[in-house]
Parts: sequence; structure tokens; C-alpha cells
Amino acid sequence: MARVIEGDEDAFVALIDMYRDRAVNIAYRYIGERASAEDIAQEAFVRIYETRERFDPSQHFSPWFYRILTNLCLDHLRREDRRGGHLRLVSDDEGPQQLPASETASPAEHVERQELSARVQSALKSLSDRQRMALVLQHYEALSYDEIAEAMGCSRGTVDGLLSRARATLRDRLSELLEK
Amino acid sequence: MSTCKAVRQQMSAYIDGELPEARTVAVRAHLSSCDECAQYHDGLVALGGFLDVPTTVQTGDDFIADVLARVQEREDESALARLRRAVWRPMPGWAAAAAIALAVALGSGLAWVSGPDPTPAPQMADAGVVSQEFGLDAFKPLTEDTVGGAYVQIAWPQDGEAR
Repeated sequence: MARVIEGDEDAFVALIDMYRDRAVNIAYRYIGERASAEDIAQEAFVRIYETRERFDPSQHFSPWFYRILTNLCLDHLRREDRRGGHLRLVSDDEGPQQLPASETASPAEHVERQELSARVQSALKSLSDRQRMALVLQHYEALSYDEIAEAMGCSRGTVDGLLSRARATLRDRLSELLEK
Repeated sequence: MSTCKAVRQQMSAYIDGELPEARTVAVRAHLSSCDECAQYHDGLVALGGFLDVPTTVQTGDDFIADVLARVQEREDESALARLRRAVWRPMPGWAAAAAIALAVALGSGLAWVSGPDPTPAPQMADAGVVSQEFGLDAFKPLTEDTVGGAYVQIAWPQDGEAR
């Protein structure tokens, strides 16, 4: 990151390459639409470059990266809400999400997995924006509560509450599956 | 002894290993003696398995090129905005033309009154110099015989200070 701060384009390209899949997947799990997720991820890297001189090289890069990305995701959904749009965790325009076919799964099992994925996505959709972001960062990125708090600009206690309520909601929504 | 409600409120942090040791021990003790809370705990743990259903997406081949293009676009916009603020002050076209004509007339008049000037004429920047200064290609095509080029030359002396 020190080289990026000096304006080294090769270092910036290496940084993008290292974090791009992570960025797109966080945004995708949060927003549920691939094109918007990729757009937000690209914008995150542009912001990182534009504000690189404000970054303290003695700090870790990840929390800063998560903070920029998280803010962009939350801003995106706020704009969607203002426009009267609705969240699309299972992307409405792309149809049901296509999961990669497993080599060992039968076609029936593959269909079952597809349905399961759709139900889980639908349950995630019922969470508040901040609950969902906390869950994405905790579950998929394996961030600690302190790291999530830093990324989301809130206290550790708030993160605890967000995750606790998120899981309680998901548990209710997916109770049928859990009882199987 | 912890109550069921208090334990369930701490369950998420307990599963994530984020509870302090003393509370972890208390929750674990409660779970060993309360079937309902143990079932609640197992449900939340199983939930994690459902969330693991793969949803991975991969970025397109052009991702990096697109980011770099956006960065360049922003830098160009930024440089252009600075130049506009410095040079292209809000002025109707006819007023700008009149100002140029007046400047030329005054310059000619002064030269006629004072005779030959022993000091060398101030050097004016051309569009290429301005383009280089702002890291921008947008002004390179502006030659002296274009209106844009003339503005750049008049408004941007080579010492770099805009009028």
C-alpha cells in the first residue's frame, strides 16, 4: 500500500487483483445483483486510489478497505430505497441464482440446493441493511466483532446486537429447514 | 444461574467465540442443563451451514482495466474542473471576444506611443504546456489559430499564474 500511496500503478493493479473477488462477493452477497456489485467494487478501488494519501501505512489495509466498501454498499441501498426500489438478494433480473453443479451431486440434489439457496437468500433479504452487512462481514469474511465495528463505524456492542437479531430472524424464517 | 433470555441474547457472540471467558463458561453451563436453550443453540449453529450455500461470483476479465479507466476519467475531470475554475470564468462569449480585442488594441496603442520596447515580450504558454501541466490531453489539439488556443495563450502565461 505504501507504493500505491506514491502513485505506483503496478502496485495499485496488484492490490486490485488481490482484493477484487472479495470486494465483488461482499457487495454481491449484500446487494444481490451482480452488475451493481461489480460497479460498487470498482468504485471502492477508485475511492481507495483517490484517498490513498489519507491512509496511514502503519495501519492494516483491510479495515480501511472494508470501511470504504461497506459505506458504498450502504449508500447504494439508501439510494435504492429513496428511489422506491427494493432489495434484490435473489436477483430479479437475472432469474434464480445458478449454483455451480457439483460433480458428486445428482440433478435432483442440485435442484434441491438451488431451492435451498433461494430460500436462504430470501431470508437474508428480510434483514435490515445493517444486520445483513454485519452478517456478511462476520460469516463470509470471518471478521471479528471489533473489525466489523471498525468497518461499519459503530460500537462492538452494536455489532453484537445486529448479529444477534439477524440470527434470530433467520432462525425464525428458516425454522422449517432447521427442523428437518 | 443465567436466565434463558439472557443466554439467548449472548448466544450469537458465544457461537462466534466473542464472549469473555467468564460469560462463555456461564453460557456453556446453562446449555448443559437447559434443553430448550441447547436446541436454540444447535439451530443457530445449523444456520451457519445454510449460509454456506455457495454464492461466489468472479469478477470479469476487464475489471482491473475498468477501474484504471475510471481513475483516469476522474483525474481528467478533476484537472479540467481546476482549469475551468482558473481560466474559464463565467463570461459570455461576446464579452470574452471584446476583452481580447481590447487587449490587442491597447497593446498595439501602447507600442505605438512608447516606441520599441527594449524588454523582451513575455512568453505565453501554449496549449501543449497547459496540457502537460494538468496532465491532460484535452488541450493539445488547441492551436494558436483556434479560439480555445487563443484563450489558453492569453489566460495562461508561462509562469503558470492564471489571470
